[in-house]
Amino acid sequence: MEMHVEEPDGDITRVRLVGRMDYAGATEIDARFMELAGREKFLLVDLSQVNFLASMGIRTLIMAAKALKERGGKMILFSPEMMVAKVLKTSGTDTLIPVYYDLLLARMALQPRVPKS
Amino acid sequence: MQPRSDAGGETGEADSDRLVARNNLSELARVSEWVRRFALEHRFAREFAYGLELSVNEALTNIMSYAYRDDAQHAIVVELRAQPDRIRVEVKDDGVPFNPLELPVEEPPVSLEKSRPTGRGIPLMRGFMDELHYVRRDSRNVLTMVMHCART
Repeated sequence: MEMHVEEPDGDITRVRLVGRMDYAGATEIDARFMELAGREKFLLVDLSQVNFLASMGIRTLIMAAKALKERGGKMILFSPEMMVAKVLKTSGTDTLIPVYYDLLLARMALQPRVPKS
Repeated sequence: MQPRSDAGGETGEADSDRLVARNNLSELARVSEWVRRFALEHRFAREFAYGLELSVNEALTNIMSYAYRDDAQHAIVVELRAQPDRIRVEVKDDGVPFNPLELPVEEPPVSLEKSRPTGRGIPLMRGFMDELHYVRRDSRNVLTMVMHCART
């Protein structure tokens, strides 16, 4: 699976995951994803191009979200497709890591302040 | 160990197919691909195909991670059967006796701090399949998962 880290916009870093987030996919990105969670403060994880999510992928997301929170940071999940959203809901992950489909709301959830115009 | 098809496989369209996987997580990719091909051949709607692939993935992840106390190679047998109104999956392993259905249904954790990163496989199987059955037979764990569905 692919992991693309975009240039931070303020304190928010957007990371785009692409492909299958199963055992093989999670193993591929685990180290880099945890390193990112240990370095950044607000992480917007774009799941729109993840076409399969299994419990091994959820493990990666939760471990990173916990690491961020321990450092006073926060993670949100952005725009999962329908079946990936169902996995997040069925596993109770969406109550632990908020899921957003609107970019502005996602950014406000990460950094609740009025953006400069 | 090579995948073994009793029926279907290359020619597709047979109502059942069987695969033997080793007890190694690296086998999951091959198993997933086999399930996807079966779903495609039998024209399952995406929702059902996804749930089937996910449930097989989670059942095997649990077996490969927890069922064996030795380092020996073991065979896990997965059988898929397409019926007009349902898909039936049978997973057989020779690991330690373990009935996943006896695990209590956990309340979802209320906070990230209190949550565990693991333990979501069985809730996912329960959520995506309509029936789960377990029996210990001939020194093997036999997990049967059924999904009620209509084909496209």
